[in-house]
Amino acid sequence: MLQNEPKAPYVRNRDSAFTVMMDVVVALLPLYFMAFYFYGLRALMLGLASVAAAVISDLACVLLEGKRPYPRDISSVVTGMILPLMMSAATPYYVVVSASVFAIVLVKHVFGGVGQSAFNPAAAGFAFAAACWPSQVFSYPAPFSSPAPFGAITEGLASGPAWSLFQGGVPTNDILDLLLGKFLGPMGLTNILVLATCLFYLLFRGAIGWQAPAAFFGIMVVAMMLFPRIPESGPMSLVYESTAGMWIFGGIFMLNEPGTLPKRSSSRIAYGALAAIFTILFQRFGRVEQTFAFALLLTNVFGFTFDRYSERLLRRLRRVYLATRTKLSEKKSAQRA
Amino acid sequence: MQPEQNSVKKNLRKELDLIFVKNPVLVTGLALAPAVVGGFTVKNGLGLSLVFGMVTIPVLVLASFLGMLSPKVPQYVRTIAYVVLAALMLIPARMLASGIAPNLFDSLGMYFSAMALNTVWLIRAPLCQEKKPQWALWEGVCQTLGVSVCILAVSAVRELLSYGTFWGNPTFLSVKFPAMAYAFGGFIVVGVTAAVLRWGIDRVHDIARLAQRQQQKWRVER
Repeated sequence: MLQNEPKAPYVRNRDSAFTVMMDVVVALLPLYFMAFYFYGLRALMLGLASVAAAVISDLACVLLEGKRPYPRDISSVVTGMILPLMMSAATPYYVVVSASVFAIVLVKHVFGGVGQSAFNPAAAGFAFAAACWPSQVFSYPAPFSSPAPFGAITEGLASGPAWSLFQGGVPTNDILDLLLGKFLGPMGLTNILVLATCLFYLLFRGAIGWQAPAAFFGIMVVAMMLFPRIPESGPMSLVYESTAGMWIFGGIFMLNEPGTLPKRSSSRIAYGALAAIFTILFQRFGRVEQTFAFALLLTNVFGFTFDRYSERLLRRLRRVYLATRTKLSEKKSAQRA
Repeated sequence: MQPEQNSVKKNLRKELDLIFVKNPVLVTGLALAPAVVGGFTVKNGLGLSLVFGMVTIPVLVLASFLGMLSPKVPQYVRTIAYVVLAALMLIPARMLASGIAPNLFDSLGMYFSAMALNTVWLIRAPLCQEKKPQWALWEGVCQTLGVSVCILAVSAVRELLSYGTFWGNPTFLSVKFPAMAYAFGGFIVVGVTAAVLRWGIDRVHDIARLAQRQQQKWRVER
């Protein structure tokens, strides 16, 4: 008998929950660097406050549940890092902290903690902040205006191109500024080039699968090109929508959250497509300028259903395939005889 | 003790459970709509519990009286009688509500009238047909107390969080969560209140069990 018998999963994958989460954290760091470049120390401090609130509330919930804290679980750090990037750099600290506490306590832990949550915690936290304090979350300071790192900021705030798109007008920003992210917008997700780099990094590291983002971005790009909601040509509409909106960031970091994403490839494609359809519908008929978080929350409900139905569908297809194959082989053998 | 007295005590205690241990809203999940949507200020909460009492108690008593009639009267006829009585009771309820605060009826809007068909009497009235009128009355009172305790607690929390006020008076709270006045905030507050109530009930049960064990020990020692 072996003295040191190996434990149950004999074939282990190199990737664990920790490495995947760490990849996401690494991919989020350049966005924080860009936020620091545009808005100075306040961006970093907002991120720090959000992460601290998320980690402390996560620890408190785990202890309340009577479990032992697991230091390699850094999903709350990811949630805390994603949240302030979607908000204005002038957002008060209490907004960021309460959004993060809401996301962890009432969205993640009420449904059973890591990997069990029915809704994406970051999207729910953002939706909570957007519903409670729309004026603070959606009014942005100008880039390079160096807002004070602490205290409330009330002057020099304005709405960005997302608001003019929401009103049906064409933004007046320079195209180069839009592509480089130098315009009034959420502090971490204006630079589309950095976001694209993050997407490729995560895809090549294997932290996210290609199915859901491919379906999501495919449908979004086609819809933006063919049916622009502003009086502009298709490609220009795509540039405006993709730079001003939140959906590129969301499609990379929030759509692929492993807890809410379906497990099968086919259902992931359907999930991404549904998220795109909901995002477009919310853009046309919604009442908020950044609609992705709300659309994602609605899509989250269908994640489990897609998995179940795709399993049933594949089983049925396999049955039909096997039946036809046996029939064909019987025919062949009859012909030979 | 005589058996009759015993049953009286048992019945009294059984219905009193409706206030906390079997709270109709927080434990059974009945009459959720007014607590979730309508009760976002304490005034509204008080108005809603008033309408609830005015509608539910007479309907349950009527049910027990109708239960004394011959069983040939079909159930659908009885239900129509309950609905008519509930709708009629809205008139005195509105008079009382305007006595509490002049604009209470307008601020409650649809939820005032929607209280007439609340799920508590829809479920309890057929069961009250087998009860004596005095016990139906006692159940109605206890149901009303349970619902009012829940709605008042929830609406107080929601008013404090969303407007930072209590009964319209400003309080010390400076950070406000305006979303708590919406239905989604109502769901969150009702859910958290239900969780806290169940946790409290469990602790009370634990303490009672401990006390029982201690008593048994003492008896053995004697």
